[in-house]
Amino acid sequence: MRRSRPITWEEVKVGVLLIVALAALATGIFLIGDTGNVFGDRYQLVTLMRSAAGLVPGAAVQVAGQPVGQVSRIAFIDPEGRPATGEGVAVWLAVNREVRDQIRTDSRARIRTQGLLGDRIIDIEPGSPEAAILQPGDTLIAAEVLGYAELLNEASDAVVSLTQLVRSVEELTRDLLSGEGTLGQLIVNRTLYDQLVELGDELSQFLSSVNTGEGALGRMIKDEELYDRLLGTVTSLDSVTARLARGEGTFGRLLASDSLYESLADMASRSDSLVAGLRAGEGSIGQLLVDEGLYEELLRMVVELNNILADLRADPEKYVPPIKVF
Amino acid sequence: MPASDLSPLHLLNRALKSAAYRVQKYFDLLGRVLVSSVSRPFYGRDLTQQMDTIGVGSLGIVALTGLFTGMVLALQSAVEMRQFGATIYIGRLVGASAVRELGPVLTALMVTGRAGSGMAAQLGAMRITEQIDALETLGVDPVRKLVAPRFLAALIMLPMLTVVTDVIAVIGGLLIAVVKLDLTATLYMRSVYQALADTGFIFRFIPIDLVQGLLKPLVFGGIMALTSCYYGMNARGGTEGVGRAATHAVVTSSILILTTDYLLTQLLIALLVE
Amino acid sequence: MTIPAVIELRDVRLAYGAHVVLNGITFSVHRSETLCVLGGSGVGKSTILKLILCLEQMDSGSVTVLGHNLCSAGRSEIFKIRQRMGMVFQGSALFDSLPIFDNVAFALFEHTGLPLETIRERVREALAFVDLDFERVGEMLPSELSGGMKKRVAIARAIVHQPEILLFDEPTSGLDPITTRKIDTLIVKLRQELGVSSIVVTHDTQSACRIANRVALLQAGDIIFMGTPQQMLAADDPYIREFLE
Ligand SMILES: Nc1ncnc2c1ncn2[C@@H]1O[C@H](COP(=O)(O)OP(=O)(O)O)[C@@H](O)[C@H]1O
Ligand SMILES: [Mg+2]
Repeated sequence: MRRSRPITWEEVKVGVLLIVALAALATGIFLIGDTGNVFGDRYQLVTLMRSAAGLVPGAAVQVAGQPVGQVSRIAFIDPEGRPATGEGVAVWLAVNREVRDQIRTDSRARIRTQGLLGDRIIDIEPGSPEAAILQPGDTLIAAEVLGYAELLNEASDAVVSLTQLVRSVEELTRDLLSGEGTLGQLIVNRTLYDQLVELGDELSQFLSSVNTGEGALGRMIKDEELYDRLLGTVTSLDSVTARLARGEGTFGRLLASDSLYESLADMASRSDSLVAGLRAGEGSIGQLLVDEGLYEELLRMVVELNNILADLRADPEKYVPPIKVF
Repeated sequence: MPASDLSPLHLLNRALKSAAYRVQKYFDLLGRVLVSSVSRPFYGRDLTQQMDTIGVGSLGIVALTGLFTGMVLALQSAVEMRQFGATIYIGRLVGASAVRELGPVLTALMVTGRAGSGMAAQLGAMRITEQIDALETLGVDPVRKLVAPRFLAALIMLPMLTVVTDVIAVIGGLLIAVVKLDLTATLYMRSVYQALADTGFIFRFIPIDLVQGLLKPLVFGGIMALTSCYYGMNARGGTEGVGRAATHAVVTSSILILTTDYLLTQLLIALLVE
Repeated sequence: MTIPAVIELRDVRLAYGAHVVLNGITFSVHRSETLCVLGGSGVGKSTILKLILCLEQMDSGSVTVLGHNLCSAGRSEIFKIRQRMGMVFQGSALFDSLPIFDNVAFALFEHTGLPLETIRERVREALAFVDLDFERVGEMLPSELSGGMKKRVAIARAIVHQPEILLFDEPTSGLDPITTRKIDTLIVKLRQELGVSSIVVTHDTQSACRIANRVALLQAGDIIFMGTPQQMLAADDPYIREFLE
């Protein structure tokens, strides 16, 4: 109990420990805060969404994949005040002021999942230079994302249309088999078959003569050059397919985007009504099904074809055009 | 003793009464400590002395605990995470478990074993050699002079020691991550900070994980000091009683710390995270 | 009685469970009087001293010290009364983490704002009173002292703040005859020079006869004799005679 002693060794040790620990703590708070982006000067933006999709306050906000802030609040929109587009939740974003000129009126906010654990984050697409910069408190437009549930909904519509289509086709086939209309005759009547058999015989004779290398066609088959050219064609086809798969070009985008699917669904329902029209004998194809005259025409055509083939056998040079694959 | 005294109901009644009496005495001690902590006279030199004993004295053991905890956490999780190619998450795992849970609990348990038993034994010895009676006789409240400084010292030093444990545990994990798992130090540390930032912040910049990681040792420190002093102050029966006091202090403190940890985690999650 | 009692016990009872230690004790001590409490070991002599210091709680009865009723006194009042008393414990009870100087000066540091020099002087005096050299033992720890020296340091600690009441719990047990005699003289000196009232617990009848104004003999929870040493020596009660042998 020496009261005269100014500072004891114990006090020094305790003091050093306290200072070191508090310094470590302060450093920790700073580094963690820096990682969590809490020190930047921030401003608020609001985005309205149909569904927050599991987003929670504190979730990261990124601009073009770079962390710039956090979701500060999520709240329901009052049903009366809901916009016509049907958004039900408002999400407030606290965003670092430094990136303000990146977020413009044409920027889009989008919910994405990130990481192994599927954390939900908000990613903002940077705006274009022509668009105005969003002010604090402004509403940032959310990109429409087709949710799984909506996807299922539309798919079931498509299935209904498809079922109807299948049913119509079924009826059509039944009619055909009972020999109604040109196509029906085609299937039921033997005459055409016999003619076709004859045609087959002629063809095989023709081919065997081609095989022996006679005439232009014969050369075409024996010659190596044609093979090489074909190979080249296949290779370029290959690369076209690859580009398609990558979604390049018009056709590629067609494969990648939803619109094709939608058109397909659309088409399914339209084909449905088409088939119904066919059955009713509307339009030229409808007539084809119903009118017997065409059958006769077709029969005549086959006979003609037969003659032409016979002619071809006699003088192949007359028919084969100069070789050109595409 | 009459036969009725040995009937089970009678014994149960007596056991319950004595347990209730001890709980009451425990909280009575807490009340007196709290009053002594905020009123004069205040024994500052005893406080620094206890801070030295509890804090500086426990540094070595706490550092070792932290180092090996961090290293083991990194090693163990590496085995699992390699299967998913997720070794970059090791920093997250080490950081979160050390700061939230293992740092506070292991520090408290180690300090209980080291300083708590010492407190109980010292106060117990003072009790049976009548030094505590002598203090009272000299007009000094032993709770104020002996218990309050230990209580306050533990309250201050346990969070500080936990900071040390946490830092060293993270460094231990770093060693393993860099040397055995070929992660870069930057990636590992970033993952540690990320884990602690992800739980969120209160008052805009104080990480919730740090708040709960420091509130816990504060409570554990209080429990450890109070329990140890309680057993010390109430030691009976010679040197054997002193040994018993030390044993009881460590066992009871540890159990209380572990149960409180559960309740506190529940409470803090409800208050801070949700 | 003309002289007011400084300590008064009235019908004090205390039992540990079924074991009755004090079964209705009544006595008083007057100013500048030395009362010796005699009795075999375990009869409750130390317990009486602890009751007077309010270190134990009695079951019933009342203890009045310096005009304050301890039963109704609050904690702070009790601490105030204790500052006017000094106690020498059976085992000395020196604070073994503090050097002798701090042990003796304890009460002065705690309760007086005296400058360090004055405190040194007072401690030197108190140690000189019990024949100890301040310069030699001042910086030593209690563990470095012999049992007799510890007892004397304990006495120095009890008298340094000049209390009005001194309580001694077997101050001479286990000491050599020379030290015993020294301590006995000391107790008498304290009464004569400083006017201190004291209770001395002992089981040494010779020592009691040397220092006491009055003697109380305790047996099985009761005071079976109360009177001057001369009366005790002259008594013909068989138990007293047996005790005196
Ligand atoms: N805390 C306690 N619990 C139970 N019994 C006690 C306690 N303290 C003292 N006693 C009993 O009280 C009696 C009186 O003790 P004490 O006053 O120390 O005896 P002495 O006369 O030898 O000083 C003893 O028989 C002892 O067993
Ligand atoms: Mg005794």
